[in-house]
Order: sequence, then structure tokens, then C-alpha cells
Amino acid sequence: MPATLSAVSRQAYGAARIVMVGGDREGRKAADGAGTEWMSSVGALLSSLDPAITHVWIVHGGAEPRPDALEALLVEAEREDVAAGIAGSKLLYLDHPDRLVSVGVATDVFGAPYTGIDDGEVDHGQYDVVRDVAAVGGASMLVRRDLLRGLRGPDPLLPPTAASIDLCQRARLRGARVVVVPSSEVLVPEVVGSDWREDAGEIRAMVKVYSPLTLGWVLPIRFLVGLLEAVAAPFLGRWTLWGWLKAWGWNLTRLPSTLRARAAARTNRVAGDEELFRFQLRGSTDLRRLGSDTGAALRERLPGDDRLSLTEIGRELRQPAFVVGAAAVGFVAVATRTLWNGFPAVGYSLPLPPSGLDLAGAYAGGWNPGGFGSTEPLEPFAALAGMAQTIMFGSPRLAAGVLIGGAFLAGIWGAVRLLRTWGVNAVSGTMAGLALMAGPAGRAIAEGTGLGTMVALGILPWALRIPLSRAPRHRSGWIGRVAAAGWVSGLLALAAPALLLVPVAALSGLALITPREPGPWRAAGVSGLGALLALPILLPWVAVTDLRSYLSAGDAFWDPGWLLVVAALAALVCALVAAPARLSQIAGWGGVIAAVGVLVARTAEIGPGRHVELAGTAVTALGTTIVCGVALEVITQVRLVTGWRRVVAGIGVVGAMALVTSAVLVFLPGRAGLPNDRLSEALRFTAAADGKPALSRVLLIGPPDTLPGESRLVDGAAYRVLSAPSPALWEVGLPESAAVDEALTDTLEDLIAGESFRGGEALAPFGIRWVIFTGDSPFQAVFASQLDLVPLQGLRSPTYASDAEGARRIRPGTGWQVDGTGFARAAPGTGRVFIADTANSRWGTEWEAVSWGNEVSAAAIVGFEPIQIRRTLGIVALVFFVGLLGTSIWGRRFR
Amino acid sequence: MRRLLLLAIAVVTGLAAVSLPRPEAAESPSFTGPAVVAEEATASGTVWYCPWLAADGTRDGWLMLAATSPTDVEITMPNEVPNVEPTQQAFAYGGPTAEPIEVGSLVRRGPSPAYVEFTAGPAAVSAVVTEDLASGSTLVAGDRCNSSVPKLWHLPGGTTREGRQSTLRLFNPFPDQAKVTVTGTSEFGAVGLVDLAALDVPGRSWLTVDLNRLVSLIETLSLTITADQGVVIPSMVVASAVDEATWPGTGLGTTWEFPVVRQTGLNPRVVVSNPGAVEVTVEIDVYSQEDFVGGARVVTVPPGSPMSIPVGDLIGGPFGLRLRASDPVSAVVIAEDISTGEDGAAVGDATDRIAGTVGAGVPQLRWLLPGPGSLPTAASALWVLNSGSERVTVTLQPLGIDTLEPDKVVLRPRRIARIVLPQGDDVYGYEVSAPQPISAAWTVESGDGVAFIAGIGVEE
Repeated sequence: MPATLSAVSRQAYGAARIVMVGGDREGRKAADGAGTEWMSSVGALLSSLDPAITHVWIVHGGAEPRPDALEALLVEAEREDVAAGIAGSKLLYLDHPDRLVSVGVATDVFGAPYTGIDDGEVDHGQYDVVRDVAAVGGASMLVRRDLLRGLRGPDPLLPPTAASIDLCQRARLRGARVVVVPSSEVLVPEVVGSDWREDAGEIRAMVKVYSPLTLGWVLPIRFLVGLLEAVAAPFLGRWTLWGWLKAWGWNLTRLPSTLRARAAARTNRVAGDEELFRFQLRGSTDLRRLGSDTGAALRERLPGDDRLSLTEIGRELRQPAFVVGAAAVGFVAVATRTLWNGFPAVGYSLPLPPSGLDLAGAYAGGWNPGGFGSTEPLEPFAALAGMAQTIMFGSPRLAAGVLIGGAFLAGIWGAVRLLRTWGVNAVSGTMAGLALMAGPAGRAIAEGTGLGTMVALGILPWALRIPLSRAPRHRSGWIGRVAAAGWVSGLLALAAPALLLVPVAALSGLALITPREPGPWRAAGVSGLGALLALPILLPWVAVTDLRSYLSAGDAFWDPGWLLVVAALAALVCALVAAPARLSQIAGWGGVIAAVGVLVARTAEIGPGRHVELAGTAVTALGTTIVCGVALEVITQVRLVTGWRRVVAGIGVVGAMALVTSAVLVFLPGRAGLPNDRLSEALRFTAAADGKPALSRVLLIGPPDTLPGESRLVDGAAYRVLSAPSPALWEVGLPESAAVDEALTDTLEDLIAGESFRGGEALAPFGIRWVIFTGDSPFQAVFASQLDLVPLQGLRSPTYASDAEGARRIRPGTGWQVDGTGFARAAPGTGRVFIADTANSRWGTEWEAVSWGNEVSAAAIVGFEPIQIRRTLGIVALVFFVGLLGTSIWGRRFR
Repeated sequence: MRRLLLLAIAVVTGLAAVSLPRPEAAESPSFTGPAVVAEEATASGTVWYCPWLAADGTRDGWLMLAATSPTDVEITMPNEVPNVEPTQQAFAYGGPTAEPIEVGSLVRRGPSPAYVEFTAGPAAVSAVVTEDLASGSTLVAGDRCNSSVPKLWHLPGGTTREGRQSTLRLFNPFPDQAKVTVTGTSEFGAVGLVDLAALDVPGRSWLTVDLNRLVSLIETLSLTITADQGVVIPSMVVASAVDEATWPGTGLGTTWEFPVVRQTGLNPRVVVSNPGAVEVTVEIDVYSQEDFVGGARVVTVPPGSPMSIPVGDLIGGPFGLRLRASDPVSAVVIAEDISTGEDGAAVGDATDRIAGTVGAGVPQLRWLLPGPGSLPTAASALWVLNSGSERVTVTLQPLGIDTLEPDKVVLRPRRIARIVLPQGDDVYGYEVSAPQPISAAWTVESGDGVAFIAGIGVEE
């Protein structure tokens, strides 16, 4: 403050009075110390001014005006062609007087300031012209005394920047000009960041000056922009939610005061909103900043030392990294294009149910609708898909596209980031990423309709990359790192639980290969902790599922295309031989990972099943990616790889490119490698059936590989039941056989034995209304000799419709609709209803087991009462996941 | 060195992966379609198909039902006109019951194939067609119905010789359209039945094929019906000038027992069809009430050809027979008034009655015979064959609307028993049982009509 007073007193144009305003006791004390007059407020000052005084120069404490600053302001403001009501100075950093802080301020319509000055921009006089601006920096502003009096001075409730903007806007409503005078230079201390008070002040300033019509749209949009920023900012290392809430809360509590101030500001106004709009920027500066920060963050994660800037964009866009990256994004867009219509109905892939919350609810203690239903937990992928669908506004199609398309992008991006750990450039990394997601192993996963593993494949490189990142310097950074490893491992495990230990195993392998390097050991440790932290995220599934059954269901036997195995082997051998020592070790590590993956994926003989095969195949994909990345990188190292090594490296590139280019097999069909939808067409006709087809089931019969999901056998012939007209993902698995399954088996055996020739009547109690053959089956002859199963003509698959009455999951009664995993109707009925699902006492009030099914009171809603402990565990898992996510974002500050 | 080590680990692991065996192929279905019992008709069946029924202005059809336990019964008669609901009648039996259902009381629209469903068994159905029964009848034709639906049927015993009219009835009670191929063999070898290849039989309908129009002057015509799609139930109807005989499709077997072969005055023959690729040696044992002649006739049936074997000269009086073949054959017994000479040509000037029936592949301990005693003015007789080497006491449990007391008959080893039944006794069927396996059938005779009707075994 003394420096400010000194600078003011040294002005070439001497001031009539120098008064220190505000600061309460400390301000008064300082003023006394400096021998300067003190006043408590601007209002008091204004009332004490001699009428002969024409202008008031407001200078903030801490600012140091150059000696001619006041003179320049006065001269320019009083010029006839200017006649400004408010004139502001050019502000420069006190520590770096050659660098600009602001030369006037523009605002957007929401009152947010924008200086247009780059960080550290040097003052070359490039902005030195007197011009109208939306506002001037509050550190130095010359205001006509009469105007300042009319405006009743700056708003004492507002922080400096918002106060100056507010004052300038109110002045404009009174018809006054606001100009910046660059020849008036004021040095100001650096202010780091801005707090929520500035945001609050901007909102108050808006409310004070705009017409009701303008306020009708700017306030909601400002609210939403703030919300959007609050959601997105954490990914950029900022946390704006609380500030956003405080700013709006502050305004809410001060609304009466704001309305009074508004009345004062708008009284005697001579201009409208359009006068304010003249000096405002289009769009939102907050959004612009968010976009800019996002771009910068993205750029940070791409290889290369240059950061995104306007001058660099053109050059960067021409770089191979960008070209390949753009091509990869294009590849993903085309390769996953049909999935934006939802998951295909084939194999273990079925469309998502109408409600994501229902899916997540079924996972967390709800009814598992597979087959005739059970309380067995759904696979964790259901929780992941359900939450993704909920976030995607409940759209099954959007969620399917985002899950698989996002996994592809994340996988390719993750491969780039992982390989960058060892200096592999972005082009090689992107190619390797393609090999990860759409190479032979990735395709095998997709062909096996391992939706969860496809998503996990996109997460897997990140589960290795995060622990391998440079060690944080602070303990808080370590906490954030472990938390990040935890939630990423949790996501990985939710998508494919069998992959949970893969990152820690792979990193331990790397540590063993490079025993003297601390990084891999540290990474293995972080990954191990992450895996431990991921376990709670798997609740309640991990607590109640039979892991042995889960891992042994089906047969683990992957038969890779041996031509591509030769290509991968060539890439590995060549990379091992030709690469410099460090890269060679990484290639060897990748080779061992790939080989172990193949081994694991073929262990059917000793018990493992389908999930292990998918996990093994994913591990192979990871290993192949590392080998590919290194093989492609080696050829680019012109100085290190020379002579015969270069020839060998070339052969390796051929092998690696064979794997990468095989991705075209995924590209063309546009299903991310998933097989064509076989079932939807076969089931479509059921939607047009009389009554409520969704209340009935379809008996599907055919070879096991043509049936969706799991199937059962009767006398060696495979079959399964699904709901009509479009079964959902939660029906893919089949629970342990229950009494209802045994009853159905007995019924089918009776039909086979020729002891019953009314198949429709025999199947109706199970809710089965249609029989569809997905392939050749001896059952076809059985069903052809049923008296009450009518063959439907004109369908691709042999199909029979039941003549029997009452083939519904819930009966009797009309008006029932499927509601999640249960049923609902407009009004409660009387009496009791039978539910043709596995008997369970949670099906409703006054439950009674009737045969293998359920009989309950006919309420308006008949549904399965969730198992509360599992529901609670599910919520705990979600909260824990969010907690880890928040901790990791917090920890990023300390990297 | 480290590179080599890493490569070695990767290669060894890869080789270990390659060496892992492929899992065994998934279990393949252990059935090819609905189970087909060798007998084509056992009392455990729940649905009985009777293709040859008819009722119109001159003819009456009779569904003879018998059940040994409480059961719901539903009779369905599909309508030949597409999309017209079938005629149905449902009722219930509270215990052991037999009852004749007059088809004319349900429909009178000519041919009326029907099927009968029971919710519990054992139960059985026979079907008989009569003409002018009230006035003494000039026609009685019938046999047991079928409860099995194999894809392949054999129908031996047809003929298109002078004075005989053979008709094939293909009944498809199922909703699915059936596509069948009918092939034939005769004493001349394969018969060209071009019109009967890929024959469409609409669902819930039937097809009647006039065999005389397709192949004339065939003495012995044996048919094979193969369902390429769907299922049909066939029957053969052979008509003389005054009478008709009908029998259902049958399967193949190496042993066939016929408790009834000769009714008084009729000249019987056995028609054996050998669909195989090799010659089959057929040995015929004959059983009368007083005598047994083992290996009474031994013949060789050439492959792909039927053979009509006259058996009237083997033994006197009523008799039954057992046929043993070296390979599976199908067989029917046909008995006619017309005597045939050695060359097979008709001699004499008899009434021209005709009867025929299928055999029993396996003797059983229990038999259901729905129908004996049912037809007013007609005389019925039970026929029981004991081909075993021990004397058996046969229990004849009459079945009717009311509870009736059983009779017992002692049957010597290798003999038949012919029990003539009294008329108007409120008896509409019999359950025949014995401690040793036997076979049973029954005959009905009225005026110029006679029919042999096979019993239906109750599998234990």
C-alpha cells in the first residue's frame, strides 16, 4: 500500500486529494502511517468531494501507476472525440513490467471476463490504441465524478474484477463510454486464479443490468455452463463444483440486495442490453477455456514436446502422429458403426435392456432373468453396462456404441501411452493399438462375443500404463496414483473379472526381466495395490459368486490362425534381434505375455472355461501389441539400427503389419468384430403377435454354437429359453438347474419319447409360446409331430407357434406388462397370479410355491424384492469407485 | 543372452500351448426324432390315430375306446376344408372303461380320420367301419389304431388284382404340412409310383390315393411311406365287392405273432415284405386249438419284394401263427372267401368277404382289446395265442360302462384259444392278461362282413 500511495503521489498530474478508502481498521492504520486521508467507503468519499473535482481515479491497493498514468487517462478521457465516462489503464505485471496483464477487458454475455492476452505475452505496444471496451481493469480506472455519483460507486459486495465489470456495465446503461487508454500504464501484482466470489459477482452483475428477457435465457445457460464445467473440469485436474454451488448459493441469499441494486442501476438508463452486447464476445469464455484446457490436456498425452497452441496447430496436424491418430479415430468410427444400433443378438451378446438402472439393479441383488430366473448374481459387466446406459440417458443403443467404440478408442490410445513409456512413437503405438483391439486376438474375443472382455481390452493398457507412469514426488501424489490404479483395475475387473490380476502379473514379469530398474517393481506394487482396491468394486458379485464355476464354465480352447501366429513370431524374433537392448527386452516381455496368453486360452483339458479363454486371448492381444509396437518402432531408429539389423527389423515390420492390417476384417463389417446378428430377425415376428408377446417366452433349439449364450442339453440336444420379442443382455447366462428346468427337461423328454403329442400345451405352463430352430436338431422331427404347434411359414428359421392357451409368464389376468424383471399393470387385480419363473419367496406378498413356480397376490406391481445386503454392497462398491476416482483426480495435482 | 532367454521362454510356452489337446466335441443328440416303438401301438400311448374312419349316409364308423384307469378323453376329427375348426368331443372316464363311440353321432361327412387323446393310461383305441349294420351288415372293416409316429412306415398286403380295390389313406393330424414319398414293390419287383413321390399332405388333413388307378393288376403290392417333412399315419384299405379290410401301417420285425389267421370259411395267407438288400428266410409256426406245427412252412423272400404265402393248407380249423424271419420284415395276415389255387388265381364262387390285420411283434403279459361285443348284431370272438412252452391261465376282464367280473381260461402251451363272446352283455372291450407272455386279437363278423382286429399290448 505504501508503494501505491507513493506512486499516486508522484503523478505528473497532481491529484486534488488522495484518499485511502476501505480496509477497515487496518486500512485506517495504514493510511495514518502514510499520512494519508482515509475514508470508510466510496459513498462517503463521493459525498465529501468538492463539486470542482471532475474525475475520480480509483487505484487498487498494490498497484503502482507509472508517473504519467493519471495524466494520460485524463488527457484521453477528456478528448472531445472520446469523452469517456470511464477510462482504464493498461495493466502490466509488477514483477515483469514488459508483460501484459490486460489492455481493457471484453466479457461474454454471462459477464465472464476475457483479456485476449496469452500467458506471458510481452508488451510490444501491439494493443496501444484508445478504444471502447466492455470493461477496464479495476486496478486503475478514471471515472467522471458525476457519473460515479450517479452510479453510487462500485458495488461493495463484489470482488475487484467483477466490481469493475459491474461498474462499467452500469455506466454503459447510463450512456457513458468506457475506454482503455494504453498510454496509461499501471503495474499490478500477479493474481493466481480466481475464486468463486468472482463467479458470484459476475452473476450479480448480470442480474443488475440485463433486461428480464435477456435474463430469461442467460441465467439458465450460465447455470448449465457452470454445471458442465463442474462435470468436465475434474478430468482436467480442476474442481469447480463447490465453487459453482457457492456462487449460485451466494446470489440466492443476496437476491433482495441484488434486486434493489438492479432497480437502481436500471433507473434512468439511456441504453439497453444491445449496447452491452456491442462490446461482448460471442459464446462463453468458460466453455472456450474448457475446450482449450481439454485440447491442451489431450495434447499433453500425445507424444512430442510441443504443446497445443494456435501457431503449432497447423504443423501438428501435418505430423504423422496426428494423421495416424485421426485415421485411428476414423477406423474406430467405421469399425463400430453398426453397434450404435445396439449390441447384436448373437452368441453371448444380446441387446441391453430398456433401462440401465434395471440392469444395474438386477446385478445388485435383483432378479437374474436368465432362463427361468434365479438369484445368482449377474456378471459384473452387467453393472458396468447398466451404469454406462444410465449415464447415456438410458439409451441401450448409445450405451452399446459408447462402450465398444469407447473401448476401441481407449485401447488404441492406451497402447500409445503404454508404449510411449519406452519411447515408442505415436505412429507405431497407434498401429499397435489397432493390433490390440482388432488384431487376431482382439477379433477372437469379438467372435466369441466376449463383450465384457472387449471393453476390458480397451482398459488393459491403462491398467499397465498408470502404475508405470513417472513416480510422483509427494505422498499425496502416490495416494492418487494408487487410487487411479484401483479404479482402473476395478473397471477392468467389472468388464472381465478374470483379467484382474493380469496387470500385476505382467508388471511383475517386466520387473523380473529388468531387475535393476526400480520402475517396474514399483509399478508391480502399485498394480497389486490397485488390484486389491478393485476387489470392493466387484461387490456384491465377488462375495456371492462361485468363482470356480465362473472360471470353469465352458471350454477354454482358442485356436488362433496359425498364419498370423507365424507373423507375430516373426515380429517378435526380429524385434528381439534387431532392437536396441531396452526395446529388445520390452519385445521379449511382450512375446512372453502373448505366449502365456495363448497357453492360458487353451487349457480346457485341465478345467478352465470360456472366461479364462477370453482372458487368455486378451493377454495375448496385449503381448502382441507390445511386440508390434516395438517391431514398428525399431525401423524408425535410423541411427541405432543399421546394417543387417535394419534388414531384420524390416522383416519384423512385415510381420507386425500383417497383424495390424488384419484389422481390416473388423473395419469392413462395422461390428467391431462381433458376428452378425442372428437372432433378432428370427424373433422379430413375435413382436407382432397377438396379446402381449413380451409376457411369453421362446424355446430356442439348435446346435449349441447357434444358440445365444449358454444352453442346456436334453438327450444331447441343446436348447434354451429366452423372453420375447427381444431378449436382453441379462438373459445370456443360465443359472444352476432348478426344479423348473428339470420340469422342462422332463417335458422335452416326454416329447422325445413320444409320450406326449401336445407340445404346445406341455410348454405353455413355462410361458413358452414359440419354438424356433436356430439350426439342425432332431427336435425338429419331434415338434413336427405335435398336434398343437403350428408351423409358421415365411420365416427363415423353422418356427412353431403354440395353439395352447395361457403361454405367459404371468397368469391369469389381463393388462400385465413387463416392468424390468417383474410385471406391472394399471390397477391391482384380485385373487392370485402364477409367475412361471423359478420359485422364490421374494416374488411378492403372500407368496406360495406352486409346483416349480410362484403364486402371489395380484398386486398392481409384481416384482422380485431385491436382496438388500447385495443392494447395499452394490452401492458401497459404487461409492468406493467414485471415491477412488475422486482421490485419483485430487492426487493428480501432486504429480 | 537375455534376448535368447526371453525368446526361449516365449517359444517353450507357445509350444506348451500347442501341445494342449482340443476338448472333446460336445455331446451329440442321442435321438433322431420322437421315439418310435417297435409295436407302433402300445397301450402306454396317449394319442391314437385312426386314419380309415368314415361316416356318411350308408356307412358308420366306430371308435372303440378302452382305458384301465381314470382319464380325460378328447376325440378330434380334423376337417378336410382348410381353416375349418375340427370336430371335437371331450369327456372323462372315472375308472376302467370301454365304450364304442359312433362317429356318425359327431360328423357325417364321409372319410373322417380321427385321433383320440388320453391324459392317462393304459388306454387303447380301435376303429371299425360298418355298412348297413342294423340290417345285418354287408361290410365290417377295422383294426387297431396307431399311437406311434415314425417317419418310415411299411404297408404290405395291398393288391390291385381283378375284383380288389386298394386305397391308401395318408392322415396328417399335425399342423405342419407333410411331404412324403411312397414307394412300392410287387411280385415283379419295384413298382413305379411316380405320382406318389414328394406328395404333399396338408396339415390337419388327409390324402386318399386310389392305388388301382396308379398300378393295376398287381397281385401283391407292398408300400413304403417315408416322411421327408412332417409326419403322416397311413393305412391300407382293400375292398372286395361286398366287404373291406383295413390295417394300419406297421414296422419291421423278425418275429410276428398273429393270434387270428383263419376265421371259419376264410382262406388265409400271410404277406411278407422284405425291404432289405438280402434274402430273408421266413419260417411259419402254426397254432390251433388242438395242435401245433412248428416250421410248418419255410420260404425265402427275395430282397425288395413282397411274397404272399398261402397258409390255409397248413392246419385245419381256426388257427393262429408265428412268423420268424432271418432279417426284419413286415407282415400282414389277409383272409378272404375266395380260394386261390397254386398259381394264386381265384377259384370257386364264395361270398367275397375279406379281413386283414397286422401282427404283434412282442408277446405281452397284458393286452387291451377295445371293441369286442360293441357292435350290435355282430358276433365277436377273442383270440389268444400262447406261443410259449407253458400252460397259462388267461384272465379275461370284460370292460364296459359298469364294473364286470373277469373270466379265466386255461390255455395249453403252443395253442390258441378262441372265445366266442355273447351279444348284448354291456361288454365293450376286454383286458386280457396272463402270467406268461401271450398275444391277443379279436374278430367281428356280421352278415357279409368280417374283420380281424389286433390287440394292443400293455408294456409293463
